Amino acid sequence: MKRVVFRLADTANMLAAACALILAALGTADVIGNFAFNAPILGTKEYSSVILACLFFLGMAAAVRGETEISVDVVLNALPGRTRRIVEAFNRLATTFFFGVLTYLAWKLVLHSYAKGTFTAGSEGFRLWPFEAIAAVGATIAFLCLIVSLLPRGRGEGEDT
Amino acid sequence: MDPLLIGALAIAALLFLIVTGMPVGAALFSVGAAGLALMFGPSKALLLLQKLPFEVGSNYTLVVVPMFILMGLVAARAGLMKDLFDAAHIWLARFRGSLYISTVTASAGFAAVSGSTVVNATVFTRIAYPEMVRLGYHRGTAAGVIAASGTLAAFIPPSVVFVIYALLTQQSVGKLLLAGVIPGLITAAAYVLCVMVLVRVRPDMAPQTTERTSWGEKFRALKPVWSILLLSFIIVGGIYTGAVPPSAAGSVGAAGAIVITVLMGRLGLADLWDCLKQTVQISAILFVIVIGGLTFSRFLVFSGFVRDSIELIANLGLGFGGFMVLVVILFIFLGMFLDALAIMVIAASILVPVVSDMGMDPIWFAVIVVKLIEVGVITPPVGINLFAVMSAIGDKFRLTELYVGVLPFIAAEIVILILLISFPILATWLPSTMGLD
Repeated sequence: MKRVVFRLADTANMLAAACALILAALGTADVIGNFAFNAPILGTKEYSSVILACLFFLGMAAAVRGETEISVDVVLNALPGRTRRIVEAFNRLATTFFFGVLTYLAWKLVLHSYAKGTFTAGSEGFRLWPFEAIAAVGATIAFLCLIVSLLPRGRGEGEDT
Repeated sequence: MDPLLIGALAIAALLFLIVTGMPVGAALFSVGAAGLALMFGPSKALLLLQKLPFEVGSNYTLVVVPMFILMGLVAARAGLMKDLFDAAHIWLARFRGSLYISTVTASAGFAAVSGSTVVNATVFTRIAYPEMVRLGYHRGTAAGVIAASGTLAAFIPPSVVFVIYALLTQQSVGKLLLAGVIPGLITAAAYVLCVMVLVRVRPDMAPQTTERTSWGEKFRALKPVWSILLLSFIIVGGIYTGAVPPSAAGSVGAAGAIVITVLMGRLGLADLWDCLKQTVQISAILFVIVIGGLTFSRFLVFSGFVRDSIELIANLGLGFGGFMVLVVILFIFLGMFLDALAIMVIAASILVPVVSDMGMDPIWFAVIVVKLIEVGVITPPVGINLFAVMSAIGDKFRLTELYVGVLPFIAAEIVILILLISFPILATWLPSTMGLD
């Protein structure tokens, strides 16, 4: 289970990385097109915005999988063993709750946009729900990563498998 | 219940969660969402928050965050920091304490392509610290100058901190980025001055080198530095003239960094891929903090806390001076326990509405906030740059040595802070002359 979820998170990381590369290329091509040929790429802003959302949400799964979140552990480290474990467990549950809510909100938005047929604003309008769905998938993988990290470790299962 | 009490309880709960190790973004969101749920009921709270994550994630202004991070990571991976450090060292070799000064100037130069103080501090520790120790420089001061110089990345564009602050407070990203330029340069100059005074008072802190370099060698050392100058020119020049919006400047900077370092033969595909993957992870963490921060500030607004705080501070009759003293004390206190972004979110949620009400310039106040945050990252016990330097040095170094080593730079920071508070024009002049809004 853990292996499958972490594999999904790694895939999300690769897709998010591709999004970053596309953003750099798209923005640059637009600036060059605008200045050199007086021909900016239509819809750069709109496409960049939704690609950015995909980058953030897919990247979230990778960040959770890599446990790279920003936290302050000075007080935590000073706590006695048992109290520290309780506080850590509480923090993990609360973080899981946060990603659970985020996942719920993300899917709710997808359904809402799909039902309403929401389009982006701007010169190049396109349907929003496919991008919102990618974002929701990213949030779901992040949530699943946290869920599997709460599960007891199986025999022979390493920290990073 | 009294809105001020509600807000105070929420802030206390937030501080508790953060200092007990909950990830900052999750803590901000949990307290904000729980507060909204208690006020309006869970279903209305969810409705209020439904669109927030995707709306924030697809905010075009934020494109600049991953792009600036990518540019810094690519430049660091390609060894551009080492080029800058070597060039600065060759040019400044005749001064006593030249490696300290080289660290400050190279760090300021690299800040022009990197927006992360921690990246600056970590990489310069690996490049400059061993060289300084080898030549007999004082270890604590060497580590202190690296930790302090890392903070220059927060001021000299591209600064990720200013972009996030702009988003949280609805300010112009371009203006905020430019507002950091002069304070950043003043800080770099103050650090150099601080080093010069230190080595004059304590000559044993830095050996005098007898090495002499020819003008030919000096100019040859500048050759690899052109790439950084070009990238910096594109970003700052583009934003200043209004020719390129900050988001596009970020994309051009990132793509430029990739193309230049690939052409220099310094960046392979595997390196690039690694930088991209790191970029999205760092960006995602910041994104979560921004969502959490906006949720928390929404709660503070809806609870009436912000409105009542404005009234309370107005009734206290503190005036400008009293208010600023309060702000400085608050930041120093928070900086002892919290990380920079958490402090910034709290400042943006609570103080910015008060500042607007008092008629202060929001651009200037942003510079003061970032300066205070940067003092926090080099102030014990939680100063994140201190830990970054410590972990990059390794085991054979005591944290107390670093605390002592960084003290002169904290003193310099306090002088700069007083200057910035006394002369707001230092922060507001450059943005006021820019081409477009």
